[in-house]
Amino acid sequence: MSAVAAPPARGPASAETRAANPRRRIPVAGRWIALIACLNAVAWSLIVPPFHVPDETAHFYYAQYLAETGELPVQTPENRWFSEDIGTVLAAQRFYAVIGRSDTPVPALDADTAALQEAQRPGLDRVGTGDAATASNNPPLYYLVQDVAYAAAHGADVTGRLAIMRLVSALMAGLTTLCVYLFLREVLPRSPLSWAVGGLAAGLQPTFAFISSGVNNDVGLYLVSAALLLALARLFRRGLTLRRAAAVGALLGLGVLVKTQIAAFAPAVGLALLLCAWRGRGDRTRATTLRALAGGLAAGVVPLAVYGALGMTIWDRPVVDRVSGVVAERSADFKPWTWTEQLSYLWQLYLPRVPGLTDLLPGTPPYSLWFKGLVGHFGWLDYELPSVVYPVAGLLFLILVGLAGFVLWTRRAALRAHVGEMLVYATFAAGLAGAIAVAGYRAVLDGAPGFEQARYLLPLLGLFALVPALAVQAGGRRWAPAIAITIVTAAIGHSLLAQFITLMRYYG
Amino acid sequence: MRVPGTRVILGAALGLLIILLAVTGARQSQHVLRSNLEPPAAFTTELPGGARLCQRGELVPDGTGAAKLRIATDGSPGPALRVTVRSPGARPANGELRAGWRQGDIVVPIAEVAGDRERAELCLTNRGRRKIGLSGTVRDPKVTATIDGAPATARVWIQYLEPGRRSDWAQTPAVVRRASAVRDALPGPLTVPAWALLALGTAAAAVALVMRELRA
Repeated sequence: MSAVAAPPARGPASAETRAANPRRRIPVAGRWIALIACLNAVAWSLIVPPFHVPDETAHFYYAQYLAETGELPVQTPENRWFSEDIGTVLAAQRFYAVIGRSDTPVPALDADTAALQEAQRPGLDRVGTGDAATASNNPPLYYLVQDVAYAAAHGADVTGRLAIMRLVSALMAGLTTLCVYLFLREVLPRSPLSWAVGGLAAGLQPTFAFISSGVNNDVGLYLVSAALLLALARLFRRGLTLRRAAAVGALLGLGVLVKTQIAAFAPAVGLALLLCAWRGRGDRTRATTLRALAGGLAAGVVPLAVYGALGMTIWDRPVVDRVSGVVAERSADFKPWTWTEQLSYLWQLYLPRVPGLTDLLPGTPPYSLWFKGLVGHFGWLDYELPSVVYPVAGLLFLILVGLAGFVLWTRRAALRAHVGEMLVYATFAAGLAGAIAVAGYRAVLDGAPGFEQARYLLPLLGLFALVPALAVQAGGRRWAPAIAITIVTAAIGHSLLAQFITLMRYYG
Repeated sequence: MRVPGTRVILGAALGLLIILLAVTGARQSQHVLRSNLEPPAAFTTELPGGARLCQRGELVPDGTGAAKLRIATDGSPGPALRVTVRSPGARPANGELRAGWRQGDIVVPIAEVAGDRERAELCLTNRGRRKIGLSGTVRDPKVTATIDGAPATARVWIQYLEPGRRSDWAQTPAVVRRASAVRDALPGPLTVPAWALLALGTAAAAVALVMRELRA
């Protein structure tokens, strides 16, 4: 990450220029990258069968129930999930016999098609009992956005409504990638090529595109997380103002209403605000700084307060339902939670296991769970890319990390000016890693292992994109084009291969 | 930024990419036409030597040339097997597998089936002396398989396969048809063509974009 010494030729424009011409805020390349990512997610949405994005059944039903009743779902002990119309489609497509079995294509003979169309006859109940399974406790913001599409497609059948709602997720994927691009523009202001390469690598990333092709509130989480990273970068690069602090606070507050997991970024946000307030203490009056901090706090609290008020009056649910579930008292029937084992779990989740630790996770999670999962583990975790892809991807990734590390090393003097900013990004990543570890260990204790999935790391997409973006710069003027072309071609190949394998898994 | 050889590098990278995708699609395998969607949760059914298991209510696809079952032995080589597919108004399709196979997912070739066969019955005869175990799912006795006419406790898992190995590319017409049938939404029969247009269009746009940035 290079320091901003002088306004770069094609770097972020000045505030005056932007104010005069808002369209110039986003470079043409950024708009194209957003469009590419959006259309890529649409392409995925065409070939992934209905409900074959993880938990799509639950998320689709949540949005439908909210649209039909104005109520939020409530999980029930009877597990009477979803509504009649969704249930009949799942039955017609023999959904539960297909997921989890990569050698079982979705039934598609004429008789199967006739059964599906019969299952989509009008008049079936859309409301059900209000139990959205694992999605029940989620906050409603993502689903409220989806309900705009639901209302537009209200007259369509289940698969027709789902197809339209998937487009909303694809649109969010485009916006997420745009935020990643703009984030790279903030932190690497002198290299438009790096922004483009990093943005394309993020937008074409198959696991990101696959999840973004379905109805799943993770897609909303990715968008808010990428926007939050961008807002934090702007805070550091352009200084603390009321508006920027409020943007950071609002994204955090609204993000909690998309998926509670985003609360894991609160320490990073708090640290960023304090560091920026400290750093700019000579440039501003104390009152200005306090006003900015108060604005950030208020912007974060207001959405939560509104949701809290609605929760107390209309919806009967707490503000942070998932968090309350994680920290709640546990039944004596279950294995007790211990600090030492929690730390051991945390270690094993992200680092190679060392002698002396009790085996809490299968395989070698840094590779088998995270790396392989991000390279490609699709469907309801039931199919992968050809096995040769993973070591090749591992080699390429190591080369990229090496190149990115080389760039950071050569610019270590300039980096000293950004220690605080890097500390915030590290806290951002650590917060998410810690939240996953807490929830994962909890699942292990509850006798329900397998909570961890690579897609949970995708809120860090902006930070991942830094690796290819920095790697481009390692080659200097002579080799940068070759590195850029290689990275983008590899990203395209990865994306096309993953989609081809997806077609063959479900229809081949 | 202008560096000689950019187009050469791009051409080489895209050429390599096209070759890799072509090779991936050229993989040969015996494709599954349809599963009977009775997950092989466990070895639920024992078939004694000389006995015959029959399972009704099967939907056997057009073009089926083999049936795959998950079969366990006591570790010794498996016995000779005979498979017969019957359906109303059609000639039976028979097939045999010689003794000597090893336990696991076993493919029994049968005469090629013409036209989808609904309400078909598949029968498997154990022509050896030792019992074998079949994998499937425990079901209501009204729909389970029968062994020599007596109800078993489960339906066995069966996959219906094409007669021989073909490349993935050869599956293209079937993939186009199945994807639109399963999606059951816009753009209907154009689902896979629309996908191809988007996938290749985004790839081309990505290449064009990075070249534009290199020229800038």
